[in-house]
Amino acid sequence: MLRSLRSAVFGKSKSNEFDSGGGGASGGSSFSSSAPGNPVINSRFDAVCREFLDAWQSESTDSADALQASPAPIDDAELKSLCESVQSHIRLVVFVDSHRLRRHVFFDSKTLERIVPDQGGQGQAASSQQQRQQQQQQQKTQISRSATIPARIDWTASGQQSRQKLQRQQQQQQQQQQQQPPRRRTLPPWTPNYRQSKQASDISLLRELVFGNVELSHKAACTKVHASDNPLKIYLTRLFYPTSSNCGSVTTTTSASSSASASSFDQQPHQAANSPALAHVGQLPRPVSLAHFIDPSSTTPRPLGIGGGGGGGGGGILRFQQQQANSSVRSSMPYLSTSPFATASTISNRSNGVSGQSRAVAMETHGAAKWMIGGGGSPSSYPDSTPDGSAISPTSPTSADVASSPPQQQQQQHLLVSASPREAKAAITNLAYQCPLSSVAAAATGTSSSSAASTPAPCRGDKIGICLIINSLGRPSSDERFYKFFFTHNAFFDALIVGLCDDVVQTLSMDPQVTRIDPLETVLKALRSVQQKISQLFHCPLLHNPAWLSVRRQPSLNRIFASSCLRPAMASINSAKHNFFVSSLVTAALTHHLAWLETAAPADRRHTGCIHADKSRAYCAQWMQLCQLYSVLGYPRRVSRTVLVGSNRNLLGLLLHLVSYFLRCSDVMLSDDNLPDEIHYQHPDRLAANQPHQNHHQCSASSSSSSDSTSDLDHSPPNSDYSATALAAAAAVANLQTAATITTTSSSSKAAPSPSSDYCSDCEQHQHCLLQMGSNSTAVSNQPLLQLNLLQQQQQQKQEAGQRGEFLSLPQTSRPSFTKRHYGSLGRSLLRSVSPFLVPFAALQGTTDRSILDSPGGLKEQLRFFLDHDVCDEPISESVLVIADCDRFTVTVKSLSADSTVVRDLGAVVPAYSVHSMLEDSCRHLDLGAPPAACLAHIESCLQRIERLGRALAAVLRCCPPMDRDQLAACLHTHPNDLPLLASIALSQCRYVTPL
Amino acid sequence: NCLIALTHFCEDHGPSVVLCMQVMQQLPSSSRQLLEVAPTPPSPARAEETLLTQQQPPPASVCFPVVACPSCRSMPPNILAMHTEDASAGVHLVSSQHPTWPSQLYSRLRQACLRVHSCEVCPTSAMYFGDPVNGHVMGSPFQLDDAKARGLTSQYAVVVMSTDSRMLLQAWPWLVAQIGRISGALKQMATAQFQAEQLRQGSAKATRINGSSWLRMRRSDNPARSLAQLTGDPAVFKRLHLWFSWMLRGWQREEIRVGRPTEDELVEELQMMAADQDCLLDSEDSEDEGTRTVVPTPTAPTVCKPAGGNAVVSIVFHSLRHIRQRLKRVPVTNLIDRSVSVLDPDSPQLSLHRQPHIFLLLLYHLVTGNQIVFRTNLPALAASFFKLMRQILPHNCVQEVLNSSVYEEPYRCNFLGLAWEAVIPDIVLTDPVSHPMLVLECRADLRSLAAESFASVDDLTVSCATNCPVPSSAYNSLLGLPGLIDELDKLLDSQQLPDEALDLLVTNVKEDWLNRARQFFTCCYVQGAQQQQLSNAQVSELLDSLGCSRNDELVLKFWTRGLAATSRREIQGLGGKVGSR
Repeated sequence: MLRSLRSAVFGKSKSNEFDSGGGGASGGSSFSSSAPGNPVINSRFDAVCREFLDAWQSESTDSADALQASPAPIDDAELKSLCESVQSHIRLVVFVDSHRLRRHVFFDSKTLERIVPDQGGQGQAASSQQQRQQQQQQQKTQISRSATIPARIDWTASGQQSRQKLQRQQQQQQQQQQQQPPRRRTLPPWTPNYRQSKQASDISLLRELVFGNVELSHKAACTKVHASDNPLKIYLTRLFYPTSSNCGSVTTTTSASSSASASSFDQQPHQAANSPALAHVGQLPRPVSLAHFIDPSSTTPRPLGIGGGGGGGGGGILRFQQQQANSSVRSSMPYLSTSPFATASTISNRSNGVSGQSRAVAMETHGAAKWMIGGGGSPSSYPDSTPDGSAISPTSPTSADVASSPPQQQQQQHLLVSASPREAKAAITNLAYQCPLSSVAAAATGTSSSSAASTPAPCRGDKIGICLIINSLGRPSSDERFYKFFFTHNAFFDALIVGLCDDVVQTLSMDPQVTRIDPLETVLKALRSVQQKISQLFHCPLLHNPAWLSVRRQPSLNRIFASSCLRPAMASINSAKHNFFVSSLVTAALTHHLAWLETAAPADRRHTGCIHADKSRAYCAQWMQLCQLYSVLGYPRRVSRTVLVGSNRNLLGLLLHLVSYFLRCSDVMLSDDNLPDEIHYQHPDRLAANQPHQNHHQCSASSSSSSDSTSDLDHSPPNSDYSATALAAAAAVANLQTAATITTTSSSSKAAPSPSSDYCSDCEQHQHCLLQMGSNSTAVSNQPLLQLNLLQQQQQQKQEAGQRGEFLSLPQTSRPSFTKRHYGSLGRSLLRSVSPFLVPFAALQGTTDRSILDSPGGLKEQLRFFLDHDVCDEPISESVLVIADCDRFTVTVKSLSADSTVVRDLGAVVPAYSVHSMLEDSCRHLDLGAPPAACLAHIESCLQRIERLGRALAAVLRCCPPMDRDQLAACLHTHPNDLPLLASIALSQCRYVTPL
Repeated sequence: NCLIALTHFCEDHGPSVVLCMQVMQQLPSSSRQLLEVAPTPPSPARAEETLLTQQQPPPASVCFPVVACPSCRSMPPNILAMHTEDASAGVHLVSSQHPTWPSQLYSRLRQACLRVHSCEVCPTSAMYFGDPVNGHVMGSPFQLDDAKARGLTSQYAVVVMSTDSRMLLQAWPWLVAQIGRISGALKQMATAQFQAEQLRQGSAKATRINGSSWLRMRRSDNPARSLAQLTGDPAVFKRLHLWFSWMLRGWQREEIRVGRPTEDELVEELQMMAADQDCLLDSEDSEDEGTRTVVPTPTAPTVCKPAGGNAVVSIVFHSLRHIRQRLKRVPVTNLIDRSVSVLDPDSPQLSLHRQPHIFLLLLYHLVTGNQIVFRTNLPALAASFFKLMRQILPHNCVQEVLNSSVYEEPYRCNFLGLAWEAVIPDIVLTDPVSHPMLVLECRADLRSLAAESFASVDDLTVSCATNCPVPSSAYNSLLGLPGLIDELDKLLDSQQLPDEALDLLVTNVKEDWLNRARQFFTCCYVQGAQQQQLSNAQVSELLDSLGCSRNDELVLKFWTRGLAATSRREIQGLGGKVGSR
């Protein structure tokens, strides 16, 4: 059968081509190696692509919903300007609620100013510092050049001698450098680049909004949203306490949430390596090291301590630290060994040249995860003079170093405590942060000129409030769209603000004097990244009517899709010369986006992935849709996205629509009705006389035995109709009843499709049918009746005696309730058209930007985001990106695991035989005159077949002894090239199946 | 997952919950148990205990304080709750003063109420706050005119709580709109009542400002008023109950649409629908009038009880593999002349590498729609045989009559379980063109079987006869047999496949061929609708594109009967469209 199929599909030559490529493990390489490089599509096919896109857009009557970002196509320049315009409407305010400063503003993008060099003393200082740095850099460069390359090299006959001379000089210089004691490099004082100019006028309101009027007792991180649509005003607030999770999540996960954070925090290890101040961080003693910088001059009891609670709990440590401060800093502190937290401790006395009051806590666990928490410390406080550049190391601070430090630097002590991981964890969760007194004074005097230098580091018990404010975009239509967009994409906004919180916490935890990084600038960069993500997600064009959703809604699109999209693509770019590009692309989509299984599996197995994921969330259609789009199904949890890269926009558009037929998600129907407007309250006596008893919805009120009083509920006007306009309780319940009927008929209609409708619930016709049935059911009941029985004892007795209770009569609603309408939701929003840059969060997109293929950093950041942020409320173990190069006709897969920092290249995708034959057969049927719908039905049947094969593979892998690839294929009577696809399906069925 | 509440900032008691609606899967057996009144709120220990046993009905002692203040109360003292039963969803929507169960909701809602009215600032129409510990809350505060309240307004809020922040936030625009309508309606009523009171008593504000008894606070002798009094609507809480129930019902406004069902699923659905209609209409059994419907047959007893003996374990076939293995060495004779062997397994003319057996012949008759008769005195054996055979054929291709005492024509059934005493007419046996059939026969001695503790099919004598043999050459090269037979036989021959995988693969083969049949039917129908007949070359090309040969044409034509009526109508509609073009 396979042979006949193969010959049927490929013919002689194709079969040979396919077999040569698909047989064995090396099938992919030989398969793709047969392709002669970089074929270019001809202009005729380009015209075909354009015609398809025009026909698709003109034929589809499915109106774009509110999520349609750009109904009209826009060019790249306009898109970029739109994105930039949105950025200006997003504002970030960061509050820090500390014991001393109360709720003060740390960052406000509205009032942030860049300190230009010619502005004020600080600016001059900054400029002079920059000049000095530049000069130093130039000098260093010159020195290094002089050390390596002679100014003039004689390449003549005496060149050999010159080279020998040069080598001798270099050796002498090296010997001199080794003999000389390490010189302490004194860095100039750091000055910020940004400052907060003044407080905004609405800062009081924002403060109240973020923190509330009354202090709350619970310590959990809280998210708040305040929103209005007219005019658009959305406040997204995150209020939290900095804990180890806040701090640790940033550094341990490398915090790729934003490019800004990547430039600041992700580079912390690199900066540590480059900066003498932080060079020690990567070389902390094992297993855990804690270092406290203590200010002995401060007499105010501070909640310092490991495991201590406030002044009481931390008293022991505080006394211990004060004792350290009063003792000789040059002593070796032997009693530290008696401390339960100090197994190997060293104290070094370092000074802080600038503030002298900052604190820093550095911690490392097993050398892998690093935290840098707290502020303070100066570059000179770290022994960059040590040979290895390590400041906090078991051998780092020597007495000579301490003695050589300036007197003012001795104001601060450097305590290094090495503790067990458990103790360190306890300590890190109770970390104490201290605020520079200068910032206290600045806050007290109301001056906020200095930003980062006086930035208060958060103390334990301090709160940080981050408020992302989205203001009106200028046009009401845009505001309305963004209003809905915000709530539909709340998962992404939540992930973004959580990432922003991490960035802010780490910024607050770092001492700019040490890191030489302006915290405000860092937060600003993080904000810019968030703004960029939001604006791109909002403005980048959506895929105009994704094929799967649109074809199902509008069957007339079958013809266009099959004959104008699938067939030309198969005919033009699916040959061996093109690496069977279409088949490879569809294979990759089917392999890594498994939501199609929901549509191909039998009814009793549908939604299995989501239900397995979390039964308690199966009711949430949007969450399910999100999981389907990202293919968060099965085990392990993987997030998969697909990017089509190319220079030909028409080709990209055609292929995006082609892939969108296979990259599926469930359609969402949305009821759109509001509360009805009318109510008629009729006395029960009247109702009893002329109304039949209906018992669809029974509202009863249970009562206790006492029934003497007449309650508020019983004050119905006797013998009179009560009409309350604008209230619609009864009608609402009528709608409730109708809705219930709709639901019932919906399910029954799914089970038993009417002859007039397509199979299942297909398109508008089915809705109409449903609504008719609902209306009919209402009509049968003549007048929907809700019984509201107040079950007082007397009324119960009356009812037992055959009398009626109290009723609300319901008028016949003139319009059907719970009108269902199609709602693209994330099914539209995450499928994007061609844009000049990568759209964040998009499950499928096309781009003309080839940087994703060239820059590993950008690719890693794209992959990393989903590992760091639980967009799907599921911990993700692997992030997968399918990259289709539409210029070179290759499809590759990149992957990043949660436990890895290296992006894996899974290689080129080998087209599955089943997929290839499915597509080829469909086109041949089209050529034979079969209607397009039948061809698509054939595709559906083939997908069902592939799904069953995948399940069979799962069963085989579970029950059979290990087999090699060919044996497995023979066992399943399928082609070996199908196995990766089938294994992916099997993996979604059974967590015990190891991926092939 | 969610509840809706109306809260109020009482001038005497501060933030308080007035009315709360929640969804319950089932009401406790006694509403008294659910709503028993106790003097004290639940203690933390009790709450924790309830938290741990959420799935169990609440203990009788879980109850809440008696609220005497009219403004804090929605239910009169003797009315404890209202509930609406949503039969379609199988839930009860219960409105009560406080959340009834689980009891930790009380503290959460209480805290949410406190935050909405006292802690949080809401510059917009609604606000959301939440965390995973305390739940997620959306609150929309509003003010109602109250001539006797401090500041002439009373503070209320509609609070929506959920354990799922995404669900809450996603529904934000809709919820805000609906809550706005509710609060707007209440405001309208309260304003009307306020103006009416002012007309009766003069301007309250002027009285307060100009009068001698001007006070900043509500007088102690002026009792707080309930919402019903503020709005002048005694049934306001009923309306709120109905509004909230409407909102809760309409909140989950999304539904997932499934993909295309298989043909068998469609057929089953149609049959279920037909059965429902039959039940509804109470119609008589419509005898088959040319339509091919499955004839309901009496189920055969699975345990055979011979007279005076012990019960015998029923003898059945367990799987297709079992049938294949058992029938492997059964010789096939001619139906007319039983002495003539049609297919001798030991025949030297057959190739050795692929020993033909009766199973291939059985498959041939099966997939081409010929009648298969199982004649036995063990009805369970025949039933199990046909049950397994049904796995191979599409649902609509099976017409089954079991345990029949008389012979039924092939157009009535292709699976016929015949009693041993029944006789097949000679006219049928001698007409292989009109009545091609395969007869399996098995007669067991029930008394001897009863004496044994266990009986197997392998111990029985099974014979086979046919009036339509397949040429032996077909078995040699398998070129004369449909490809479907080869696929099925290879699958069943594979011993390393587990049963689960084998079932899936057999189903796969069936659906695959059904799809080919549908494609074949579609192309033929569309061409017929265009008044064009496919030429032989076109048919060959079509079969080639389907991966079939001319030998499979008979199978495809028979399997087009397996298409559901819905699919047929769909194809006919497509053909009509194509023809009209």
